[in-house]
Amino acid sequence: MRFQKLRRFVKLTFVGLCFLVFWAGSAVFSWLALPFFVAFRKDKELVARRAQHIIRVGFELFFGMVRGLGVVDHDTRKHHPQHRETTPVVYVANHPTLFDVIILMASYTNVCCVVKSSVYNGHAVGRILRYGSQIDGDTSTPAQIQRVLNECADRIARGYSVLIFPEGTRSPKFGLNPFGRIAFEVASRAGVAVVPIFLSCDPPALMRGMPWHSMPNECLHYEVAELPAAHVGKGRKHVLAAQSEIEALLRDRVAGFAMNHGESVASNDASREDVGAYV
Amino acid sequence: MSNLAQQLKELIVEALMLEDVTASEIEDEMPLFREGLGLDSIDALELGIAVERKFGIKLSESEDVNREAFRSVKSLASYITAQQGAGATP
Repeated sequence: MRFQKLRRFVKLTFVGLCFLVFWAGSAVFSWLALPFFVAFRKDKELVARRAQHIIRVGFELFFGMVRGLGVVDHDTRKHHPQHRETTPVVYVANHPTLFDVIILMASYTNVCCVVKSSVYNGHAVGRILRYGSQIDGDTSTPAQIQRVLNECADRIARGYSVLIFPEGTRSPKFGLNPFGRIAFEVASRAGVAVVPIFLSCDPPALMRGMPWHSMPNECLHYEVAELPAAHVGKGRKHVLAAQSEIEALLRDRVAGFAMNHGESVASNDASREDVGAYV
Repeated sequence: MSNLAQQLKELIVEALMLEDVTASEIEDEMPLFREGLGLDSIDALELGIAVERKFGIKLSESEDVNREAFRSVKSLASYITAQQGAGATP
């Protein structure tokens, strides 16, 4: 009993330390390391690439620490994306946990992510994200949606892939929120493929409605699986067809994961209003 | 108003390239988004641009006003009529 309590205490201390290091480390990188790397550089592309490198290496180091503390067993260095360093694509992923963005940004190079607006505009990690040509995910008005579409097109034209979480927020436990259309519209307009990524965390943790201190004692095992790429034709009909097809594909994977845990898939009637989407 | 409503229905079908619905199937008070015609945020963006171009009006900077205006064909027609009236007033 005493051993169990001690184990729990150590676990929560380690998890708390991870979050503390993430935010403190982001602030240090943003305000101390970043100015050093980008100082006196007028070439914005070079600044963006350097900032992206700092983000990727920083997240990789962070994940090394998380792995070293036994919180997660996933090694981002061993995940070799099929499209790494090749032609731009639009990655779309489900979003079960708080670590998803960090895992994917540590694993992929030349990727710009559409980031939650409050994080993007924040003073810690937001600063480095802005330097790194990441994209503010505010889609609360048509003007903002137009901006996101334009920025995604700009990044693809500059040779980057774009990573979008089409649910716009974290997935419900053992479920998937309805997908938004932006990712598929971006792919259609730019004439690039959509690559779905299935993410899962076993045992489930850091999901929507699960506070960090409810973390199980077991080490978390992440699965990052790239599913077959899909090509999106031009026009609304093809965009909506691709959106529906890829949502169904990821929903099947989530359902399989839920079944393995003796759960049914959570309903998809969640409102998108909480993420500031226009409709 | 009915002529304007008809023009709007045709504009919706044409501008958004709707293939599974015709202008005559769109009712004046049918909600354009979600459970009604099922349009989404990108449709709202494209429809807004199309309306501005066709009717020479400027949409409001207030999202609440736009949200109300784009609720249905009837509300959009009222909004356009009011905007054109305001524009004609010296």
